[in-house]
Amino acid sequence: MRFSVIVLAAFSWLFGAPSKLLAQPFEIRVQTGDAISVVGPGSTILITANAVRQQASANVSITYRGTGRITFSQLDFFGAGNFGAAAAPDLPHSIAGGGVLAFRIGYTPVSSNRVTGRLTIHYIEENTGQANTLQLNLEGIAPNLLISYSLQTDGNAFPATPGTKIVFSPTQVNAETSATITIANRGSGPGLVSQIAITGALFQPQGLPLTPAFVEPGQELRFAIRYAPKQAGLSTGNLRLVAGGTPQDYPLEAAAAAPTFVYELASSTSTVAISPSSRIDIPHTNVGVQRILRVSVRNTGNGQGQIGTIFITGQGFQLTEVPPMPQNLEPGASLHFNIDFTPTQPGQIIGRLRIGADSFEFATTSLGPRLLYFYTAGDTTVPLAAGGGVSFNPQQAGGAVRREFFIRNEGTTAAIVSGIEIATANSPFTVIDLPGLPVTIEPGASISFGIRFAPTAVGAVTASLRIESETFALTGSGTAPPPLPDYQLAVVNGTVQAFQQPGVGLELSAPYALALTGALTLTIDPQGLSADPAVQFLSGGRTIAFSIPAGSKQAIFGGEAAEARLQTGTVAGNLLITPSFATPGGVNLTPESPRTLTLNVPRSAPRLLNSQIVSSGRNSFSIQVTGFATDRTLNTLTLDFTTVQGANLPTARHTLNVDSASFAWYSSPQSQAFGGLFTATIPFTLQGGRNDETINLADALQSVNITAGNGNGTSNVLTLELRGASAAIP
Amino acid sequence: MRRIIRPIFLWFALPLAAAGQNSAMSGPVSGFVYDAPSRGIRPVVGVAGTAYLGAAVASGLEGAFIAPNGKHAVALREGRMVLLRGLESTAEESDLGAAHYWEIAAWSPDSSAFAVYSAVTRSVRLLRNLPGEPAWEAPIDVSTLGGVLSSLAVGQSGRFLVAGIRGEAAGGLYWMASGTQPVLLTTMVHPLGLGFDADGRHFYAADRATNSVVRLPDLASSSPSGITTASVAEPVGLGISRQGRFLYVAGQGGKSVSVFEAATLRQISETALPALASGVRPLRDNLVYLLSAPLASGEPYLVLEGHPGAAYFVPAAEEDHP
Repeated sequence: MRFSVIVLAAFSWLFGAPSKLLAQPFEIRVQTGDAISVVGPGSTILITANAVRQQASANVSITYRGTGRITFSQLDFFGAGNFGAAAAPDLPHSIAGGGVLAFRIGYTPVSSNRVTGRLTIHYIEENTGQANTLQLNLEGIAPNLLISYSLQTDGNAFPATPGTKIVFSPTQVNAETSATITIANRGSGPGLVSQIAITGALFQPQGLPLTPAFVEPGQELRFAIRYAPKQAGLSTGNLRLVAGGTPQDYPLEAAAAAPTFVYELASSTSTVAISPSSRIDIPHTNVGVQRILRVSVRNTGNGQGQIGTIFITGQGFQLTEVPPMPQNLEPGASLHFNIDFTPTQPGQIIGRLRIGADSFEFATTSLGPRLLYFYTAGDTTVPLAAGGGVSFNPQQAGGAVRREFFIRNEGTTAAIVSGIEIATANSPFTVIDLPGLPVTIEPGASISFGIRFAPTAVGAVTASLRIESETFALTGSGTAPPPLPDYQLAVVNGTVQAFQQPGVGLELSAPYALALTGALTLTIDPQGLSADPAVQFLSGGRTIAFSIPAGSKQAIFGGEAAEARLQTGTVAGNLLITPSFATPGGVNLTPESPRTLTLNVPRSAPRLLNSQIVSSGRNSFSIQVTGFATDRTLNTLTLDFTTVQGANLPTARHTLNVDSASFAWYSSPQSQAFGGLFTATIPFTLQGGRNDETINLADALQSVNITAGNGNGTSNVLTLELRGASAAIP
Repeated sequence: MRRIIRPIFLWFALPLAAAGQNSAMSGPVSGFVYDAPSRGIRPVVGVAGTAYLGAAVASGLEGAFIAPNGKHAVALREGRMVLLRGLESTAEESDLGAAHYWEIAAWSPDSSAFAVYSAVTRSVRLLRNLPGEPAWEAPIDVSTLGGVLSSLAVGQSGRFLVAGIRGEAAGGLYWMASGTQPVLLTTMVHPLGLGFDADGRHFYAADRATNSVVRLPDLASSSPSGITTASVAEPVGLGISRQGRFLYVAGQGGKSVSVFEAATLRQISETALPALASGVRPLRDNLVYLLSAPLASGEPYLVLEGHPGAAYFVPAAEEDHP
């Protein structure tokens, strides 16, 4: 407790009027609170009240320093009636020197204004009987503490009335606001604030002074109460002020302003409310089919809400018509956007939508097949992504390797596969062991087939495997095939002559691991003569294909023959047979200088093949002789006639010089098509020794032996029966 | 045969040198074939053993039957039968009418008559006076014979026909001529190869069912006598040599050609074939016979040189080769 009484005139009493002090032998002690002061008569005693109508007092003790005896007879208080004896002494009170009169002066202010009064103490000096007075001036003061508050929102001050709520402005969650409490002293005495207490978890004092605190007249004491809501709702608290000794409670009330988002999901058929953290089932949707869901967000709360972001995750989910973020939604406002759900893969699908702090889970099943692709690499099954590739180990050109390929349907409906093919033309990759297409693959089922890589050339190669609309890259490389073994070309029956159809065989010296194809090519060295067009292989022409099965040595012609038959023709010269080798895929294995088989058709004497009578009359006939001369020369034709019995031909042998005729023939372009062949037609006219019209002279001839000659010798003998031959002439 | 008066002295009218100068030389052509792969009639240039198919003398044909003399042919072009004359030079073509008949056909030995059978009408028509003034004879109905006509032969100048009817009951050889009823010459389950000798007197037939070949001598009439029989494994066709001395019967069983003495059907020799024969058809003048013809390019023809009896292939390259 601070001094409540101030002795205003002490100084003047002690130093300015010593004579007076001596005149009145009293020692006056004034105690206000714990403070004691000695004052002189006429001094002013200041009594400070804590509050209006709250009594304050000052203890006064008057010690008589005289020598006589005095009797205090009466205390008179003047002024405003606020002063009085709080504890009146029993009067009259007689004391001797050194005696004391003690009493208490009470002061009960009715206002906070400063008031003055006077205390007159009547006493009688007993030895003189002289009535006398002792006067003390009184002054009373009291504080007038006015409590007000102002809110941060407008700063306007409002008086605070104990028991009446101080209502804070609505405040956004996680925001803050404050109310400033002002304790203003409009009174005349200092106001005592002995306690400031704030309760309520969300109400926090700010700038709170230490208590007790005095508020001097005309001064103010300020502090603030902060409200910082963390969640929506109404908050209450209390401000307790103990001012002037009186506790005063001011209820505190504040509301947290918060948005409340309400969500709706609209489809083409219905609109439903959805709640955050809930699971929303979407009807089954076919793969590739679009489903649009309209989402509405409405703020039904009392505070503005902000949506900072909206996003969605999950296969096939996509947002459209999303407004720019962030979006502030005033109470009652709403925003809208679309969920575009177009599943690309079948199966259970979860989509997660995030709207600000709220999340939603969408669950659905997409319907459709889902094909997964695999291939084997050794003992390992390797998944193959769409558009992925399958590589094959390097393989010798001409060889082949296979990989297994699987298609599994992990979708929810059956898949129909109708197209599986190598999409690259002339590719060394082939699809083998393919099931009949189209094939249906039920969910969970698989099909398999093989991919065969048979490189036909050395080097890297790529191709595309197409399965429906999916394309996979196939890569591999062909390595050089093993070198070709030595080989032998031989005529099956040894040497050759003209006019033969010998066979030529081809055999490797060792089996070759790969299947081979090849051809024998026949060229002619006519050695100055014209080549015979009859020199051909059995199959026609001067090349003939062959194959050598893998692991074997013998060349096969025409699919089954071990020899390639050819015509040697009828013109002398060398027939050169040269082989070529290749893998079925076209890798050339022919040696740089392939061994060639040379068949020599030697120059030889003419050879006669057949003869016949081609015309006949009574005295004439023509003999047609067909043969060949390998050097395309013919000098003579010799005919030895024999006659029937009884006929006489003086000169049986007739040698015809056919030099000019044969030269003309073999020099003609027409003869080129016939090689060394010739057909000579020789007319004969007979004359008889007797002119007998009934005789058919030709019938007198029995036969004729025909030979031909040139520089290489004489031909074989050809016998032509003449007798009766004329009748067979057509 | 004319009578010879003895004694007689002969000499050649021309000096020897002149005879040599008068001799003309040319190149031998063994006949003509219809080449199915190239759809043309092509010459067999050269002689068997050194022959090859030359450039086509007629092309764009669906089929052709070459006359035994190798000089003309009846062909099928765009659904009509045509006569091609002068195969050795520039083939002339004349229309023979719509090709209602084509399944089985045969030439007379003298190349003057051509018969063709239609399985649709079950009748045979005969074309005579070839090649000069071809004239169709009235159709001969063979539907009354029962069985199936499996082979056909035409007598000299087309004076009569012999039809081979296949069948267990009605099978046999029937002598036919226009205006007369068919006459059964002999029963035969599956007559396949039929042929006359060069003068059209003696007739030969092979029976696939009994692996036999028969000779019907002097078939100028419909009353043959003295039928001779021989065995051949799976016969597919036969041919008679130019002067009628030899009979060649191709058999698939032995993959060979059996050579018989025609008059007695005594087998003289057998020529192994490098491939199966499908028939025997004279290429020209009964000197060379065609045993098989390819259906695809790159395959050779197989021919038989009648005397001494040797088989050769004839390469059938594209025309621009070699």
